[in-house]
Amino acid sequence: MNDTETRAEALLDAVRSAHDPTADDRDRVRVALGAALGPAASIGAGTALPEAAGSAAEVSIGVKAFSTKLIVGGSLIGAIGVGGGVVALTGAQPPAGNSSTVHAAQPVAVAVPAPKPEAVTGASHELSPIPDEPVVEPPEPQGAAVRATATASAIPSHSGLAEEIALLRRAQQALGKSQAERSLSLLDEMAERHPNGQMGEEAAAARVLALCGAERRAEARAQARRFLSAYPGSVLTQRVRSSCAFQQAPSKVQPGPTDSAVRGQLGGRLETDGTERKVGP
Amino acid sequence: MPPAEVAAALAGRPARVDSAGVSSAELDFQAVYEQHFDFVWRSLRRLGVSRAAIDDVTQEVFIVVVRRLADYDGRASVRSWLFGITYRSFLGHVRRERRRGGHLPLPETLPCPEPGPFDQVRRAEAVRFVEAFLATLDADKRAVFILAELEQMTAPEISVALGVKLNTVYSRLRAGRAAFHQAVALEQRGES
Repeated sequence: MNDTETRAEALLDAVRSAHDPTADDRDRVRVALGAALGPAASIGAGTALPEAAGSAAEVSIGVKAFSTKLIVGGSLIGAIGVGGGVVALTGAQPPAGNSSTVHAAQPVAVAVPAPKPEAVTGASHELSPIPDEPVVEPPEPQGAAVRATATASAIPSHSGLAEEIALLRRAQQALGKSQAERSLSLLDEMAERHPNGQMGEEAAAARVLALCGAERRAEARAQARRFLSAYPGSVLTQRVRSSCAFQQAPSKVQPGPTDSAVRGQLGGRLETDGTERKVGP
Repeated sequence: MPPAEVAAALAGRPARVDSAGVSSAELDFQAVYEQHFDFVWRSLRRLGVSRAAIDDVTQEVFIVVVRRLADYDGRASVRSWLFGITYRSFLGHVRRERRRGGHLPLPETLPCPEPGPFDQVRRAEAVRFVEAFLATLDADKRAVFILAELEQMTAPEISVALGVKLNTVYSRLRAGRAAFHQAVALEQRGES
């Protein structure tokens, strides 16, 4: 090892233990997150995934002194935030003064009821959208961690994640109202504004369903193929697989040449896409 | 049934055990936060998130963790999985800053330390030097360099964390190391 390599290693060695947060840093974020995830949170399930439908789709989020455990009975999707309607987050300001004193949030049990009948009325089983996203807004820079957020318009445009979630919610709501083209338009907007966003997986699945809703089956198949390739282990895989992309065309309808050609091109690939699903190592 | 196990069951996949022996069935948010908060914070600081913004970006990371907790299936180490989320949050932060017309500040160097033990001064200088070097790398190379050289993660772990091919990790690491050695050599010659 020459001098430069020795010096380089010494520098790296000195830095490896640097940049750690202080106890205050840890507590400050803990309090903000405790406020974000616990107090006054209410998660309502607009729609449940098919697997959860009919069950006592109930998700409890127990928050005690920020010991957030997801206690799931039924639809886990709600617990991870893919289900549920709106998260109303209020109050719970971080304690002033000694930031190392953590005020424990009171235990909160959030029940996500089974889907309301009207939530799925008008939407076929095939089109039942990915459940609404809870809107969890990243905090403002000054550290006021959380605030109530119910609509997209209430979300500042700079809040990337929140805006993504809001757009996805609106797309899903449009789909629930059989406005598939509107849903696609919102998903396009989401893709344009957040090309590398956090909700890409959910948006990709929603696009499959929206294309089905728009009766654009060939495109839905292509989109489904892309989804399965990009997110092979997704919890939404089953939802996508139950969509029109994987269903036979109604037998009373003679497949047109385009549909037939597409099925010939894509059908096989959908069945044998194992290699295509491998993205990266 | 623990949530991750329920998730795995619903998703039609078995609960898995990661390289650290953590089963997806055992993973819960409290444990993730307690065990990996420092890693997330450190990574964001090293990637270049300023002190002014780090609380927010860290919080954003853990909000995503809550949302995606059930997706974790043990195929990657928890740290790899977490860094993937952390890195995407960092890139989102960069984009937002650019949209606002701002720019990410260079990593903040430590304040000039008070005269004290020699080791303390030397360490502060090392931190300052490495931070300045990291700021010269593009984000992709910076992430690989941080994970490999500072967090000492393996190339396969980094590959999973960043969602890139193993060869890409190696090539970025080679480039990062070469640049670092060049910077060190310049410093030794008093040219930095």
